[in-house]
Amino acid sequence: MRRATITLGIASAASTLTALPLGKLQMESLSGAGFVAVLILAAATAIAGLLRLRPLAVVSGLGFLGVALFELVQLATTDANALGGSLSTVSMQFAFGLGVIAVASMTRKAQA
Amino acid sequence: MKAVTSSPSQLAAAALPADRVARVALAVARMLAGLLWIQNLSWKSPTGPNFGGLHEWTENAVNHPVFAPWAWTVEHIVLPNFAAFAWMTLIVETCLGAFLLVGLATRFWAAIGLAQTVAISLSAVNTPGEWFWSYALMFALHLAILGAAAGRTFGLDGVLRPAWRTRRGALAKLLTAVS
Repeated sequence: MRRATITLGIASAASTLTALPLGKLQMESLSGAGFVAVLILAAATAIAGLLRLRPLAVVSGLGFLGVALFELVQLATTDANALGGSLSTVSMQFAFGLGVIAVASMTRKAQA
Repeated sequence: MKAVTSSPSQLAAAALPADRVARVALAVARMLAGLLWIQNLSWKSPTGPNFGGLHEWTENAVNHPVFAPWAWTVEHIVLPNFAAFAWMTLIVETCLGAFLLVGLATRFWAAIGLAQTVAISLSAVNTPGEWFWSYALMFALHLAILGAAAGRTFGLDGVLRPAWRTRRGALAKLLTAVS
């Protein structure tokens, strides 16, 4: 479980590379603020795994889900795009939020 | 194909290839399938009426029909209620990308990916400029992920499945079945 959380943190940080302008290899898009938000959450996830801090993992997982939801709401209801994302960004951040929360929830059950 | 574990029950439950290269290849295939859906969300939009071009692509099922009953369904059911179908498409494809990328409930989402591939193929294969084999390869990719339970190798299914299998709850049983 610990290794899975660390891996998700590292993977989410690495995923920001796919937001760089790489032509057909670009998978998502992020503004400067979007990069910062994802990298902070990635660091929090990796630290949560390293130090076995389940509450921090839950917070970072919810943070990823919050980023995905915020992006979706902005895309659907306003002309603003603070995180510079697209629906690809929604899916990518949803993936990491889902993953971190799933691992954290099983960690709690394993400890109980 | 040899398995990593040795007891008969573990063999039946896990059935992972013993070869590390095979396991890595399966994981890469699964993650690429996830990225396929994620990247192809970029041109879609959650605002109507065109949803970033999704309406035009859906019309191809009618303008360049592949299978008459499907063309009829799109023309008389999907297009008149397009907003609902567009949102359903966006939600399904968002989940496909997310779940396949991290390898969670992988067999279920691979099956959904197969169904979505069929739906897209029936709409797009006869559209000028489209290559039939790209859709066939997409189908084959999801079929391999489904058949090999690719989330169990370098995916969250592999991490969480042992815990799900020891629990009695309905959700744990469901997740065990779809992973």
